[in-house]
Amino acid sequence: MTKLMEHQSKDLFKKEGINVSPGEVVQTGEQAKKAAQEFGGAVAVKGQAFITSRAKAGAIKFADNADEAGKMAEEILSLNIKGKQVEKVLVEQKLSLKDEYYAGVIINDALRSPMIVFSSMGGSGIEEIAEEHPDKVVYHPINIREGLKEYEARNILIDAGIPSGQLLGLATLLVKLYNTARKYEARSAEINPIGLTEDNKLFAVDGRVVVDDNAVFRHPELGIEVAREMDHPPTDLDRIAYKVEANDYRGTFFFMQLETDTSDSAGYVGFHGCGGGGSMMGMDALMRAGFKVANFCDTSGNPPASKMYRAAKIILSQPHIEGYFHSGSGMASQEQYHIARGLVKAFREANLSIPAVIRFGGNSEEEAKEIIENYTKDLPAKIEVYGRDTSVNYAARRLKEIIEESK
Amino acid sequence: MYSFKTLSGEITINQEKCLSCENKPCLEICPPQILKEEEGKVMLGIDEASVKKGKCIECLACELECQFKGNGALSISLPLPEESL
Repeated sequence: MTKLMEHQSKDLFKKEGINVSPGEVVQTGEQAKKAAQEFGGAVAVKGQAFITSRAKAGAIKFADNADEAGKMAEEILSLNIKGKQVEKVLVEQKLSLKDEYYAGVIINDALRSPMIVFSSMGGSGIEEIAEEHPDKVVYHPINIREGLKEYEARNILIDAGIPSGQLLGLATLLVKLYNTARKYEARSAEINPIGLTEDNKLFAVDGRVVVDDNAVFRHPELGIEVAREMDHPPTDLDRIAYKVEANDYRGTFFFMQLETDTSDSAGYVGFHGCGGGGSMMGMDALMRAGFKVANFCDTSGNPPASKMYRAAKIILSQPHIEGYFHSGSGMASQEQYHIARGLVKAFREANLSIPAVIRFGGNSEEEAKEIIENYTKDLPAKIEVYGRDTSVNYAARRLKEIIEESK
Repeated sequence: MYSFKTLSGEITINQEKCLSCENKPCLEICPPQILKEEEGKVMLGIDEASVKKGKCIECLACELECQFKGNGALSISLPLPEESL
Protein backbone atom coordinates (compact mmCIF):
# COMPACT_ATOMS: atom_id res chain seq x y z
CA MET A 1 0.00 0.00 0.00
CA THR A 2 1.46 3.29 -1.09
CA LYS A 3 1.94 5.83 1.65
CA LEU A 4 1.81 9.52 0.92
CA MET A 5 3.84 11.97 2.96
CA GLU A 6 2.08 14.32 5.35
CA HIS A 7 2.34 17.31 3.01
CA GLN A 8 0.99 15.29 0.06
CA SER A 9 -1.91 14.00 2.16
CA LYS A 10 -2.71 17.51 3.33
CA ASP A 11 -2.79 18.74 -0.25
CA LEU A 12 -5.54 16.21 -0.92
CA PHE A 13 -7.45 17.22 2.21
CA LYS A 14 -7.18 20.86 1.20
CA LYS A 15 -8.57 20.14 -2.27
CA GLU A 16 -11.59 18.53 -0.63
CA GLY A 17 -12.18 21.63 1.48
CA ILE A 18 -10.64 20.55 4.78
CA ASN A 19 -8.72 23.29 6.59
CA VAL A 20 -4.99 22.74 6.89
CA SER A 21 -2.52 25.14 8.48
CA PRO A 22 -0.68 27.40 6.06
CA GLY A 23 2.59 25.64 5.34
CA GLU A 24 5.50 25.30 2.97
CA VAL A 25 7.67 22.31 2.08
CA VAL A 26 11.37 23.19 2.13
CA GLN A 27 14.68 21.38 1.79
CA THR A 28 17.18 23.60 3.60
CA GLY A 29 17.44 25.46 6.88
CA GLU A 30 17.63 28.77 5.02
CA GLN A 31 14.40 28.04 3.15
CA ALA A 32 12.74 27.05 6.44
CA LYS A 33 13.82 30.35 8.02
CA LYS A 34 12.40 32.28 5.09
CA ALA A 35 9.11 30.38 5.23
CA ALA A 36 8.83 30.99 8.97
CA GLN A 37 9.49 34.70 8.44
CA GLU A 38 6.63 34.87 5.97
CA PHE A 39 4.24 33.17 8.37
CA GLY A 40 5.42 35.21 11.34
CA GLY A 41 5.16 33.94 14.92
CA ALA A 42 5.59 30.38 16.10
CA VAL A 43 5.85 27.56 13.59
CA ALA A 44 5.96 23.78 13.56
CA VAL A 45 8.91 22.24 11.69
CA LYS A 46 7.99 18.73 10.60
CA GLY A 47 10.30 16.21 8.91
CA GLN A 48 8.58 14.37 6.11
CA ALA A 49 9.15 10.67 6.73
CA PHE A 50 7.12 7.47 6.53
CA ILE A 51 7.03 6.82 10.25
CA THR A 52 4.55 7.39 13.01
CA SER A 53 5.50 9.13 16.28
CA ARG A 54 7.81 11.52 14.46
CA ALA A 55 7.99 13.82 17.48
CA LYS A 56 9.58 11.01 19.53
CA ALA A 57 12.11 10.48 16.73
CA GLY A 58 13.02 14.17 16.85
CA ALA A 59 11.48 14.86 13.47
CA ILE A 60 8.86 17.35 14.70
CA LYS A 61 9.89 20.50 16.55
CA PHE A 62 8.27 23.81 17.43
CA ALA A 63 10.04 27.11 16.88
CA ASP A 64 9.17 30.50 18.37
CA ASN A 65 10.85 32.49 15.63
CA ALA A 66 12.35 32.22 12.14
CA ASP A 67 15.98 31.78 13.29
CA GLU A 68 14.99 28.90 15.51
CA ALA A 69 12.94 27.37 12.69
CA GLY A 70 15.97 27.44 10.39
CA LYS A 71 18.17 25.70 12.96
CA MET A 72 15.54 23.11 13.75
CA ALA A 73 15.00 22.39 10.06
CA GLU A 74 18.74 21.78 9.68
CA GLU A 75 18.68 19.40 12.64
CA ILE A 76 15.74 17.50 11.21
CA LEU A 77 17.27 17.37 7.74
CA SER A 78 20.38 15.78 9.24
CA LEU A 79 18.32 12.93 10.69
CA ASN A 80 18.60 9.47 9.27
CA ILE A 81 15.38 7.60 9.93
CA LYS A 82 15.46 3.86 9.21
CA GLY A 83 18.50 4.30 7.00
CA LYS A 84 16.97 7.09 4.95
CA GLN A 85 17.91 10.72 5.13
CA VAL A 86 15.07 13.16 5.78
CA GLU A 87 14.93 15.23 2.60
CA LYS A 88 12.05 17.61 3.21
CA VAL A 89 10.50 19.48 6.09
CA LEU A 90 7.12 21.08 6.28
CA VAL A 91 7.11 24.48 7.97
CA GLU A 92 3.65 25.30 9.25
CA GLN A 93 2.03 28.02 11.25
CA LYS A 94 1.65 26.74 14.80
CA LEU A 95 -1.97 26.52 15.86
CA SER A 96 -3.27 27.10 19.34
CA LEU A 97 -5.54 24.15 20.02
CA LYS A 98 -8.06 23.62 22.77
CA ASP A 99 -9.01 20.08 21.75
CA GLU A 100 -7.80 17.24 19.54
CA TYR A 101 -9.66 14.39 17.85
CA TYR A 102 -8.77 11.46 15.59
CA ALA A 103 -10.62 10.41 12.44
CA GLY A 104 -9.80 7.72 9.95
CA VAL A 105 -11.40 6.04 6.96
CA ILE A 106 -9.99 2.57 6.76
CA ILE A 107 -10.80 -0.30 4.41
CA ASN A 108 -11.85 -3.15 6.65
CA ASP A 109 -11.21 -6.42 4.82
CA ALA A 110 -13.26 -8.43 7.30
CA LEU A 111 -16.30 -6.19 6.73
CA ARG A 112 -15.49 -5.77 3.04
CA SER A 113 -16.26 -2.09 3.36
CA PRO A 114 -14.75 1.19 4.42
CA MET A 115 -15.03 1.95 8.09
CA ILE A 116 -14.96 5.24 9.94
CA VAL A 117 -12.92 5.26 13.09
CA PHE A 118 -13.41 8.32 15.24
CA SER A 119 -11.89 9.09 18.61
CA SER A 120 -12.82 12.01 20.80
CA MET A 121 -9.22 11.94 22.01
CA GLY A 122 -6.58 12.47 19.32
CA GLY A 123 -2.91 13.22 19.04
CA SER A 124 0.32 11.34 19.43
CA GLY A 125 0.04 7.71 20.51
CA ILE A 126 -3.45 7.13 19.15
CA GLU A 127 -2.98 3.34 19.36
CA GLU A 128 -2.37 3.60 23.12
CA ILE A 129 -5.30 6.00 23.51
CA ALA A 130 -7.58 3.48 21.78
CA GLU A 131 -6.38 0.74 24.13
CA GLU A 132 -6.65 2.78 27.31
CA HIS A 133 -9.88 4.59 26.47
CA PRO A 134 -11.95 2.26 24.28
CA ASP A 135 -15.09 4.21 25.23
CA LYS A 136 -13.75 7.22 23.32
CA VAL A 137 -13.46 5.35 20.04
CA VAL A 138 -16.31 4.63 17.64
CA TYR A 139 -16.05 2.22 14.69
CA HIS A 140 -18.69 2.54 12.00
CA PRO A 141 -18.85 0.60 8.69
CA ILE A 142 -19.95 2.55 5.63
CA ASN A 143 -22.17 1.26 2.84
CA ILE A 144 -19.94 1.95 -0.12
CA ARG A 145 -22.88 2.42 -2.49
CA GLU A 146 -24.41 5.10 -0.26
CA GLY A 147 -21.24 6.79 0.96
CA LEU A 148 -21.05 8.62 4.26
CA LYS A 149 -24.12 10.77 4.84
CA GLU A 150 -23.87 13.85 6.99
CA TYR A 151 -26.51 12.59 9.45
CA GLU A 152 -24.63 9.32 9.75
CA ALA A 153 -21.45 11.25 10.57
CA ARG A 154 -23.33 13.17 13.26
CA ASN A 155 -24.56 9.89 14.80
CA ILE A 156 -20.97 8.61 14.92
CA LEU A 157 -19.93 11.79 16.73
CA ILE A 158 -22.82 11.58 19.17
CA ASP A 159 -21.78 7.99 19.96
CA ALA A 160 -18.29 9.32 20.67
CA GLY A 161 -19.68 11.88 23.11
CA ILE A 162 -19.00 15.01 21.04
CA PRO A 163 -20.97 18.00 22.37
CA SER A 164 -23.69 19.40 20.13
CA GLY A 165 -21.80 22.61 19.41
CA GLN A 166 -19.09 20.66 17.58
CA LEU A 167 -21.32 18.24 15.70
CA LEU A 168 -21.90 20.17 12.51
CA GLY A 169 -18.26 21.13 11.87
CA LEU A 170 -16.89 17.69 12.68
CA ALA A 171 -19.60 15.89 10.68
CA THR A 172 -18.80 18.01 7.63
CA LEU A 173 -15.12 17.25 8.09
CA LEU A 174 -15.79 13.50 8.37
CA VAL A 175 -17.78 13.53 5.12
CA LYS A 176 -14.96 15.40 3.39
CA LEU A 177 -12.42 12.94 4.73
CA TYR A 178 -14.53 10.03 3.47
CA ASN A 179 -14.84 11.70 0.06
CA THR A 180 -11.06 12.19 -0.08
CA ALA A 181 -10.51 8.51 0.69
CA ARG A 182 -12.96 7.39 -2.00
CA LYS A 183 -11.74 9.84 -4.61
CA TYR A 184 -8.13 8.66 -4.36
CA GLU A 185 -9.04 5.01 -3.65
CA ALA A 186 -7.26 5.05 -0.33
CA ARG A 187 -6.79 1.99 1.85
CA SER A 188 -6.72 4.46 4.68
CA ALA A 189 -7.02 8.21 5.15
CA GLU A 190 -6.39 9.49 8.62
CA ILE A 191 -6.30 12.86 10.29
CA ASN A 192 -4.58 12.86 13.63
CA PRO A 193 -5.10 15.14 15.23
CA ILE A 194 -8.05 17.10 14.03
CA GLY A 195 -7.34 20.30 15.93
CA LEU A 196 -10.04 22.54 17.37
CA THR A 197 -8.68 26.07 17.66
CA GLU A 198 -9.57 28.64 20.29
CA ASP A 199 -11.89 30.30 17.77
CA ASN A 200 -13.69 26.98 17.14
CA LYS A 201 -12.22 26.19 13.75
CA LEU A 202 -11.25 22.64 12.78
CA PHE A 203 -7.91 21.88 11.14
CA ALA A 204 -6.19 18.76 9.84
CA VAL A 205 -3.04 19.20 11.92
CA ASP A 206 -1.44 15.97 10.74
CA GLY A 207 -2.63 13.27 8.41
CA ARG A 208 -1.75 10.36 6.24
CA VAL A 209 -3.30 8.89 3.12
CA VAL A 210 -2.37 5.39 1.99
CA VAL A 211 -3.41 4.58 -1.57
CA ASP A 212 -4.32 1.11 -2.79
CA ASP A 213 -1.39 -0.12 -4.93
CA ASN A 214 -3.76 -1.49 -7.53
CA ALA A 215 -5.45 1.88 -7.96
CA VAL A 216 -2.31 3.95 -8.37
CA PHE A 217 -2.34 3.73 -12.18
CA ARG A 218 -5.69 5.54 -12.17
CA HIS A 219 -4.17 8.46 -10.30
CA PRO A 220 -1.25 9.89 -12.23
CA GLU A 221 -2.03 13.20 -10.53
CA LEU A 222 -0.57 11.77 -7.31
CA GLY A 223 2.85 11.41 -8.93
CA ILE A 224 3.53 8.06 -7.25
CA GLU A 225 6.68 6.53 -8.72
CA VAL A 226 6.59 3.16 -7.00
CA ALA A 227 3.25 1.76 -5.87
CA ARG A 228 4.53 -0.23 -2.93
CA GLU A 229 4.23 -0.03 0.82
CA MET A 230 7.59 1.23 1.94
CA ASP A 231 9.11 2.81 4.97
CA HIS A 232 11.36 4.92 2.79
CA PRO A 233 11.09 6.94 -0.42
CA PRO A 234 11.95 4.68 -3.39
CA THR A 235 15.63 4.07 -4.03
CA ASP A 236 17.16 3.78 -7.52
CA LEU A 237 16.93 -0.01 -7.25
CA ASP A 238 13.28 0.18 -6.15
CA ARG A 239 12.53 2.36 -9.17
CA ILE A 240 14.32 0.13 -11.67
CA ALA A 241 12.69 -3.00 -10.27
CA TYR A 242 9.25 -1.42 -10.32
CA LYS A 243 9.66 -0.54 -13.98
CA VAL A 244 10.52 -4.16 -14.76
CA GLU A 245 7.24 -5.16 -13.16
CA ALA A 246 5.27 -2.34 -14.73
CA ASN A 247 6.48 -3.18 -18.24
CA ASP A 248 6.14 -6.94 -18.04
CA TYR A 249 2.79 -8.55 -17.22
CA ARG A 250 4.18 -12.10 -17.12
CA GLY A 251 4.24 -13.26 -13.52
CA THR A 252 4.86 -10.99 -10.59
CA PHE A 253 8.03 -9.32 -9.46
CA PHE A 254 8.01 -7.65 -6.08
CA PHE A 255 11.28 -6.05 -5.08
CA MET A 256 12.11 -3.93 -2.09
CA GLN A 257 15.45 -2.64 -0.97
CA LEU A 258 15.48 -3.27 2.77
CA GLU A 259 18.87 -1.80 3.52
CA THR A 260 20.11 1.32 1.79
CA ASP A 261 23.51 1.35 3.47
CA THR A 262 25.28 -1.99 3.63
CA SER A 263 28.77 -0.55 3.89
CA ASP A 264 29.21 -1.96 7.40
CA SER A 265 29.32 -5.41 5.73
CA ALA A 266 27.48 -6.93 8.66
CA GLY A 267 26.43 -10.17 7.03
CA TYR A 268 24.09 -8.92 4.32
CA VAL A 269 22.63 -11.27 1.74
CA GLY A 270 20.45 -10.75 -1.29
CA PHE A 271 17.23 -12.68 -1.07
CA HIS A 272 15.18 -14.01 -3.94
CA GLY A 273 12.07 -15.98 -3.14
CA CYS A 274 9.30 -17.46 -5.24
CA GLY A 275 5.77 -17.21 -3.93
CA GLY A 276 4.66 -15.19 -0.90
CA GLY A 277 4.61 -18.02 1.65
CA GLY A 278 7.87 -19.52 0.47
CA SER A 279 9.48 -16.11 0.49
CA MET A 280 8.43 -15.48 4.07
CA MET A 281 9.86 -18.86 5.07
CA GLY A 282 13.07 -17.97 3.28
CA MET A 283 13.36 -14.61 5.05
CA ASP A 284 12.73 -16.24 8.43
CA ALA A 285 15.36 -18.87 7.75
CA LEU A 286 17.94 -16.25 6.81
CA MET A 287 17.24 -14.29 9.99
CA ARG A 288 17.53 -17.46 12.07
CA ALA A 289 20.85 -18.19 10.42
CA GLY A 290 22.09 -14.77 11.54
CA PHE A 291 21.96 -12.87 8.27
CA LYS A 292 20.72 -9.39 7.54
CA VAL A 293 18.61 -9.24 4.41
CA ALA A 294 19.69 -6.40 2.12
CA ASN A 295 16.81 -6.74 -0.28
CA PHE A 296 13.66 -8.75 -0.68
CA CYS A 297 12.54 -10.00 -4.03
CA ASP A 298 9.59 -12.26 -4.72
CA THR A 299 8.97 -13.52 -8.23
CA SER A 300 5.89 -15.63 -8.66
CA GLY A 301 3.03 -16.54 -10.99
CA ASN A 302 5.29 -18.29 -13.51
CA PRO A 303 7.41 -15.40 -14.75
CA PRO A 304 9.69 -16.03 -17.73
CA ALA A 305 13.40 -16.63 -17.35
CA SER A 306 14.03 -13.10 -18.61
CA LYS A 307 12.26 -11.70 -15.57
CA MET A 308 14.16 -14.01 -13.25
CA TYR A 309 17.37 -12.80 -14.86
CA ARG A 310 16.45 -9.16 -14.27
CA ALA A 311 15.48 -9.92 -10.67
CA ALA A 312 18.80 -11.63 -10.01
CA LYS A 313 20.73 -8.84 -11.70
CA ILE A 314 19.02 -6.18 -9.58
CA ILE A 315 19.58 -8.16 -6.37
CA LEU A 316 23.26 -8.67 -7.17
CA SER A 317 23.76 -5.01 -7.97
CA GLN A 318 23.38 -4.05 -4.31
CA PRO A 319 26.89 -3.49 -2.96
CA HIS A 320 28.46 -5.38 -0.06
CA ILE A 321 26.22 -8.43 -0.11
CA GLU A 322 28.04 -11.56 0.97
CA GLY A 323 25.74 -14.15 -0.51
CA TYR A 324 22.78 -14.86 -2.75
CA PHE A 325 19.91 -16.92 -1.43
CA HIS A 326 17.10 -18.23 -3.55
CA SER A 327 14.34 -20.25 -1.98
CA GLY A 328 11.14 -21.32 -3.66
CA SER A 329 7.95 -22.49 -2.10
CA GLY A 330 7.16 -25.99 -0.93
CA MET A 331 5.70 -27.07 -4.24
CA ALA A 332 5.16 -24.40 -6.88
CA SER A 333 3.40 -25.23 -10.13
CA GLN A 334 5.78 -23.05 -12.10
CA GLU A 335 8.53 -24.70 -14.09
CA GLN A 336 11.70 -24.35 -12.08
CA TYR A 337 13.99 -24.44 -15.11
CA HIS A 338 12.85 -20.93 -16.05
CA ILE A 339 14.20 -19.74 -12.74
CA ALA A 340 17.40 -21.71 -13.24
CA ARG A 341 18.10 -20.28 -16.68
CA GLY A 342 17.46 -16.74 -15.52
CA LEU A 343 19.82 -17.18 -12.59
CA VAL A 344 22.51 -18.77 -14.74
CA LYS A 345 22.48 -15.85 -17.17
CA ALA A 346 22.71 -13.29 -14.35
CA PHE A 347 25.39 -15.25 -12.48
CA ARG A 348 27.48 -15.70 -15.61
CA GLU A 349 27.24 -12.05 -16.60
CA ALA A 350 28.31 -11.03 -13.09
CA ASN A 351 31.01 -13.75 -13.05
CA LEU A 352 29.55 -14.49 -9.63
CA SER A 353 32.12 -14.46 -6.89
CA ILE A 354 29.91 -14.50 -3.78
CA PRO A 355 28.49 -17.80 -2.52
CA ALA A 356 24.97 -18.72 -3.54
CA VAL A 357 22.48 -21.29 -2.33
CA ILE A 358 19.55 -22.10 -4.55
CA ARG A 359 16.65 -24.16 -3.25
CA PHE A 360 14.05 -25.09 -5.82
CA GLY A 361 10.57 -26.24 -4.96
CA GLY A 362 8.24 -27.17 -7.77
CA ASN A 363 7.82 -28.66 -11.21
CA SER A 364 10.91 -29.93 -13.00
CA GLU A 365 13.20 -29.14 -10.14
CA GLU A 366 15.66 -31.91 -11.06
CA GLU A 367 16.07 -30.34 -14.48
CA ALA A 368 16.49 -26.94 -12.84
CA LYS A 369 19.17 -28.29 -10.50
CA GLU A 370 21.05 -29.76 -13.44
CA ILE A 371 20.98 -26.42 -15.27
CA ILE A 372 22.52 -24.62 -12.31
CA GLU A 373 25.07 -27.35 -11.65
CA ASN A 374 26.15 -27.77 -15.27
CA TYR A 375 26.31 -24.15 -16.32
CA THR A 376 27.86 -22.47 -13.30
CA LYS A 377 30.67 -24.87 -12.40
CA ASP A 378 33.31 -22.64 -14.05
CA LEU A 379 32.31 -19.56 -12.00
CA PRO A 380 34.51 -18.39 -9.09
CA ALA A 381 31.64 -18.59 -6.60
CA LYS A 382 30.66 -21.67 -4.67
CA ILE A 383 27.08 -22.43 -5.61
CA GLU A 384 24.99 -25.14 -3.99
CA VAL A 385 21.63 -26.22 -5.28
CA TYR A 386 18.88 -28.14 -3.51
CA GLY A 387 15.32 -29.29 -4.06
CA ARG A 388 12.18 -29.20 -1.96
CA ASP A 389 13.30 -32.18 0.11
CA THR A 390 15.88 -29.93 1.72
CA SER A 391 14.52 -27.65 4.38
CA VAL A 392 14.82 -23.92 3.89
CA ASN A 393 16.53 -23.67 7.29
CA TYR A 394 19.22 -26.11 6.21
CA ALA A 395 19.73 -24.19 2.96
CA ALA A 396 20.17 -20.92 4.87
CA ARG A 397 22.63 -22.55 7.28
CA ARG A 398 24.61 -23.91 4.32
CA LEU A 399 24.87 -20.41 2.89
CA LYS A 400 26.26 -19.24 6.23
CA GLU A 401 28.78 -22.07 6.27
CA ILE A 402 30.05 -21.58 2.74
CA ILE A 403 30.36 -17.82 3.25
CA GLU A 404 32.49 -18.55 6.33
CA GLU A 405 34.54 -21.11 4.42
CA SER A 406 35.16 -18.69 1.56
CA LYS A 407 36.52 -15.94 3.82
CA MET B 1 24.44 -10.02 -37.71
CA TYR B 2 20.94 -11.42 -37.74
CA SER B 3 18.66 -10.18 -34.95
CA PHE B 4 15.05 -9.89 -33.94
CA LYS B 5 13.14 -8.35 -31.04
CA THR B 6 11.34 -10.30 -28.34
CA LEU B 7 8.80 -8.93 -25.90
CA SER B 8 11.41 -7.35 -23.67
CA GLY B 9 14.74 -7.98 -25.35
CA GLU B 10 16.59 -8.84 -28.51
CA ILE B 11 18.10 -12.05 -29.86
CA THR B 12 21.19 -11.80 -32.03
CA ILE B 13 22.54 -14.69 -34.11
CA ASN B 14 25.93 -14.78 -35.76
CA GLN B 15 24.81 -16.96 -38.65
CA GLU B 16 28.36 -17.47 -39.90
CA LYS B 17 28.99 -19.47 -36.74
CA CYS B 18 25.82 -21.48 -37.34
CA LEU B 19 27.27 -22.76 -40.61
CA SER B 20 29.88 -24.79 -38.77
CA CYS B 21 27.54 -25.89 -35.95
CA GLU B 22 26.54 -29.48 -36.59
CA ASN B 23 23.98 -30.02 -33.86
CA LYS B 24 22.13 -26.70 -33.79
CA PRO B 25 20.78 -27.49 -30.31
CA CYS B 26 18.88 -24.20 -30.21
CA LEU B 27 16.31 -25.56 -32.66
CA GLU B 28 15.19 -28.50 -30.59
CA ILE B 29 15.26 -26.84 -27.17
CA CYS B 30 12.96 -23.94 -28.14
CA PRO B 31 9.55 -24.69 -26.52
CA PRO B 32 7.41 -22.67 -28.97
CA GLN B 33 9.58 -23.84 -31.92
CA ILE B 34 10.05 -20.41 -33.45
CA LEU B 35 13.48 -21.06 -34.98
CA LYS B 36 14.32 -22.85 -38.22
CA GLU B 37 17.40 -23.77 -40.22
CA GLU B 38 17.89 -22.59 -43.79
CA GLU B 39 21.06 -23.32 -45.74
CA GLY B 40 22.89 -24.05 -42.49
CA LYS B 41 21.85 -20.83 -40.82
CA VAL B 42 19.49 -20.45 -37.87
CA MET B 43 16.75 -17.88 -38.26
CA LEU B 44 13.18 -17.13 -37.28
CA GLY B 45 10.64 -19.59 -38.56
CA ILE B 46 7.69 -17.30 -37.91
CA ASP B 47 6.96 -13.63 -38.46
CA GLU B 48 8.81 -11.08 -36.36
CA ALA B 49 5.65 -9.34 -35.17
CA SER B 50 4.39 -12.51 -33.45
CA VAL B 51 7.73 -12.97 -31.76
CA LYS B 52 7.71 -9.44 -30.44
CA LYS B 53 4.19 -9.90 -29.14
CA GLY B 54 5.26 -12.82 -26.99
CA LYS B 55 5.55 -15.92 -29.15
CA CYS B 56 9.13 -16.11 -27.94
CA ILE B 57 8.62 -16.81 -24.25
CA GLU B 58 12.11 -15.59 -23.33
CA CYS B 59 12.98 -18.87 -21.65
CA LEU B 60 16.68 -18.27 -22.50
CA ALA B 61 17.08 -21.97 -23.35
CA CYS B 62 18.38 -21.29 -26.87
CA GLU B 63 21.16 -19.07 -25.58
CA LEU B 64 22.39 -21.57 -22.99
CA GLU B 65 22.26 -24.46 -25.43
CA CYS B 66 24.07 -22.46 -28.10
CA GLN B 67 26.74 -21.22 -25.71
CA PHE B 68 27.43 -24.61 -24.14
CA LYS B 69 26.52 -27.19 -26.79
CA GLY B 70 26.55 -25.17 -29.98
CA ASN B 71 28.92 -22.68 -31.52
CA GLY B 72 28.29 -19.66 -29.29
CA ALA B 73 26.43 -17.89 -32.08
CA LEU B 74 23.29 -16.80 -30.27
CA SER B 75 23.03 -14.20 -27.53
CA ILE B 76 20.12 -12.48 -25.85
CA SER B 77 20.13 -8.90 -24.69
CA LEU B 78 17.69 -8.11 -21.89
CA PRO B 79 18.16 -4.48 -20.89
CA LEU B 80 16.92 -3.18 -17.59
CA PRO B 81 14.57 -0.18 -17.64
CA GLU B 82 17.49 2.03 -16.66
CA GLU B 83 20.87 0.70 -17.65
CA SER B 84 22.62 1.97 -14.58
CA LEU B 85 23.51 -1.27 -12.85
